[in-house]
Amino acid sequence: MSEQQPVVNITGEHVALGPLRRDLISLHQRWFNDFETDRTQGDLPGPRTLERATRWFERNATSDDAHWFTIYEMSSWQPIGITWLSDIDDKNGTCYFAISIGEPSARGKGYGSEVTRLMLDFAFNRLGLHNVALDVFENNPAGIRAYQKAGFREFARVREAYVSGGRRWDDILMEAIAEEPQAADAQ
Amino acid sequence: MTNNDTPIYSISGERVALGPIEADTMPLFYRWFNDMELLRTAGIGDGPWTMERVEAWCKRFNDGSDEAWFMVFERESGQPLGFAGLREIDERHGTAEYAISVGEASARGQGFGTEATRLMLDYAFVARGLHSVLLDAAAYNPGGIRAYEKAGFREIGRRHEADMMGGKRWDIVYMQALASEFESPVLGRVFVPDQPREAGEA
Repeated sequence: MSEQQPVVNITGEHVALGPLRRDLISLHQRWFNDFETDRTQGDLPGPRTLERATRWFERNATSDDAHWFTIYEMSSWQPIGITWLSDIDDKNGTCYFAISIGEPSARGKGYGSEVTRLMLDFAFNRLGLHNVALDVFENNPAGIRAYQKAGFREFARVREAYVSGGRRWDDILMEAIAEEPQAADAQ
Repeated sequence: MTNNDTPIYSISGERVALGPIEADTMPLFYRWFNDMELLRTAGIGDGPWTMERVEAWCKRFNDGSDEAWFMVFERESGQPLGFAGLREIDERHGTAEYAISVGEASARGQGFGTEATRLMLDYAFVARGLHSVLLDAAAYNPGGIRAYEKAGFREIGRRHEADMMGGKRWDIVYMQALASEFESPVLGRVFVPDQPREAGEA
C-alpha cells in the first residue's frame, strides 16, 4: 500500500525532497521523541509535546534564511526524515547543512548520503553557494561516513565539546566546496 | 576613589579590566559600529548602523543567559577600549563561542586584545566552569589570530574560501581553548574555598 506521491522539489534515485507539511507535524513529534534520533542531533533529550513540534513547524515552514525539506523514500513515498540548509549567507556564499532520518527502518540504507548529495547539488548549483559546512559528533561514525561519501571532508575537530552517554566527544566540523564552474560547452 | 565616573571592574588584569556594559555607553558603540575598520573583522554585518540598530544589537548585553558581555577598559584610566563576549554558552556541553572587538582605533595593536581575551577565558573557565571555548577569525586578520594564540587559543582547522572580503575569498580560521590547558591569571585566586576562621572571628 503506497501513499499517493506527494509534492516534491528534488528527485534522486531512491529518495526525493519536498516541502515541510502541516499534516506531518505529529510524525515529526514521534521522531523528536526518539532518543536514538536525539543522540546525534545535539538537542537535549526529553519529552517533546505536540505544541513544541507545532512551534518548530511554524518557525521553519516560513523561514527566510533556511530551506527545510521532507525526505521521502521513493519506493513507498513514505516520509522518512528531514533535511535543511540554514544560515544561508549570500555575501560569503556559505550555509550549514543538517539531516535527520527519523524512521528507524530507513537507516543504514545509504539514504542519508544520497540526500546529502542532493542537498549539496541544490546548494551549489541552484543557490550558487560556495562552501557548505556541517558538524557531526564523534559518536556518530555512520553519519561521518555518509557525509564523506557525499563529498564532505573534515576541516576541524573541536575537542571534547559534546557530552553524551556520560563522557565527552569531539565535535567534528566538515565542509564541501563547490567545484570551479565549467563553461557550458566544456567537454 | 569614590568618583561616580569610575567604572566598575569585575576582573582586573595588568593593563586592562573587564566590567559591565552600562546603558550610557551606547554612543560609544554607535561610533565603533560605524567604523569600517572594526566591521571588517567583527562579523556583525556591514554598516551603516543607525542608533536604533545599535541599541537593538546591544540588547544582548542585558538579557539571555547564554551570552555574557563585558566592556574592556584600560585599567589605569578607566577608558573603554572595546568589548568582549561569550555567546552560545551551553552549560550541558560546557561550551561557548568567543568574540572581541577593540573599538578604539588608537588602542589596537598594543596587546590590549590579548590580555582582555586571557581575562575572558579566565571568566569562562574559572568563573563559569566551562570546558571549551571556540572562536573563528578570518585569515586576513593575522593580528587577531596572533593575539588569540598568545591568550591561550590554538588553531584547530580552516573552513576554506568561506569569507568574502575585498572581492576575494578567504579561509576562516577556527581556534579552540580548553580549560584543562589554561592557566588562570586572576580568578584562580578568587574562586577558592574560604580559609578556616579563628574562633571568635565574625
